[in-house]
Amino acid sequence: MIRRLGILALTAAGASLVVRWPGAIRSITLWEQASLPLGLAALAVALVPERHARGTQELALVGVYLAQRVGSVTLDAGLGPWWDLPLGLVVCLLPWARPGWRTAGIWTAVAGFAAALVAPGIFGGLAEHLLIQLLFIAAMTDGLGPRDALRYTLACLIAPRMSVPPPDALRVDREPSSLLRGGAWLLLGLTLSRLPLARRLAERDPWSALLDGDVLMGLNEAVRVTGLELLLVAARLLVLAGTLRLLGMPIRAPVDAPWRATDLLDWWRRTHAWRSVVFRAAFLQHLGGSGPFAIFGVFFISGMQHAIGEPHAWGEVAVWAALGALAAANLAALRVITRRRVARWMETGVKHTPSKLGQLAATGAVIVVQGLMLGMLHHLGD
Amino acid sequence: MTTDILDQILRFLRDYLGIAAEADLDLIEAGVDSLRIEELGAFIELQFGVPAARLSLRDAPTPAALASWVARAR
Repeated sequence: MIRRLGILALTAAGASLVVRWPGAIRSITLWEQASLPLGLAALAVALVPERHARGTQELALVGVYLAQRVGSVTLDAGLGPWWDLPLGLVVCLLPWARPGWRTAGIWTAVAGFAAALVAPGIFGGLAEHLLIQLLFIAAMTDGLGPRDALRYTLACLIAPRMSVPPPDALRVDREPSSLLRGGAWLLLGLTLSRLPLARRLAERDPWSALLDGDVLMGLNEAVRVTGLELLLVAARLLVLAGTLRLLGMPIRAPVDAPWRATDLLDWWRRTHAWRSVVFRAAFLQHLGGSGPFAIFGVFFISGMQHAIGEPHAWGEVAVWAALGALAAANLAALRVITRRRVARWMETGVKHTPSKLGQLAATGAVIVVQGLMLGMLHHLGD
Repeated sequence: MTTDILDQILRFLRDYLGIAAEADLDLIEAGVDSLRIEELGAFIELQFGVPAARLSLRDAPTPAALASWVARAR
C-alpha cells in the first residue's frame, strides 16, 4: 500500500510539473510528453488488483492514445496522426508471417527510399515513416497472439522514440518498486529540466531543446554537447530512464555501454542495442543470415533513409556506404579471428583473454573512424 | 548422437563462454549476444563440420534445440 501511495504521489507531482508550465510545452521533448501518460497508465495497472491488471492496461493504453492525439492537435506536439491506429490494427490482421509478404514489404520500402532520393515526395515519406514501422512491428509481433499483438501495437504508437520496443514491454507483472524507481527518476528529470538555468539554455539554443535520449545513441549527437548543455542531457537522460522503467525496461535495453566496445561493429551494436535487435529481426534474419553483405545492406538502406531530403543526398549515402563497408570488413575480420581463437582453444585448451590496453586502443580507433565519418557528413551538410 | 552433440555444446558454453548452461536454458536470456553467437558458430563449424553462417537463436534458442539443429544439418 505504501509503495502504491508512493507511485500515486510521484505521478501527481510529475503531472503538476508538466501542467504548471504550459509555456514550457514547446521545449518539452517527446520523451517528456510521453512520460506523463505512460506514468498514468503504469499507475492504473499498479493500483488495480492483479486479476484486472491486463484489461486495465489495455483500457489505459487506449485512453492514453486518445489523450495524446487530442494533445497533439491542441499543442501541435506532433505525436502522430489519427490514422496510425487503424493502420496498426491492419498490421495485426495481415498475414505477415508469410515470407513473401515480408520480403515484398522490405523491397517496397527500399524502392520507396530510392524513389524519394531521386524525387522527394509522398511515396518516400510513406516508405520512411510507415512501411518501415509496420515491418518492424510485424517482425517483433511475429508469433504473438492477436490480443498481445494489439497491445504491442498500441504501446508502439503511444511511446515516441520507442517505435519498436521489445514485445514484452509494458508487462503487467512489473514490480511496484521498479515503478517507484522509474517515477522518482522521471520526477527528478522533469524538475531539473524546469530549473531556470535549463530553461534558459533550451530557449537560447534551439538545438538544446532537441536534446533527449538520442544523445546517447551515438557520437553523432554526443560530440555536439558541450558545457552547461550537459545539465539538459542529464535531465533528459533521467526522463528517458524513468519512462523506460515505467515500461519495465532497463536503460541498457536501447543503449548498452558504448565504452566497452571492442570494434566498430560492436560499438554500433551497443549504441543502437535496440535498433540492432529490430534490424536483425526485420531484415537480416528474414533476408538470410547476418553476413558481411547483409551488414553492408543495412547500412546502405539506413543511409538512403537518412539522406532523403538532404541537400547532398547521394554524397551522404556514399558516406553511409563507406561506413557499411568498414563494418562488413570488421565482421569478416572478426569471424576469422574468432575462428582462430576457438580452434586454438580446441587444440590447446588455452582461452584468449583481451587485454585492457588492446580494448582501449580498439575503442580509440572506433572513435577516430566515427569522427572521420561525422566530419564528412558535416562537411556535406555545410 | 544428439546427446553427444549436446554434451559438447554444453562443455563449450561452460568452458569457453563461461555460461553454466543446461539443455533447456534460454541462450539469449543467458547473455549469448551476437559476438558470442559468432564464437558458438565457429565452434559448431570446427567441431561438427556444419556451416553455421545461418545459425539463428530464434530457430535454436536452447542448447537442446541447437544440438537437434546440428544433428539435422550434418
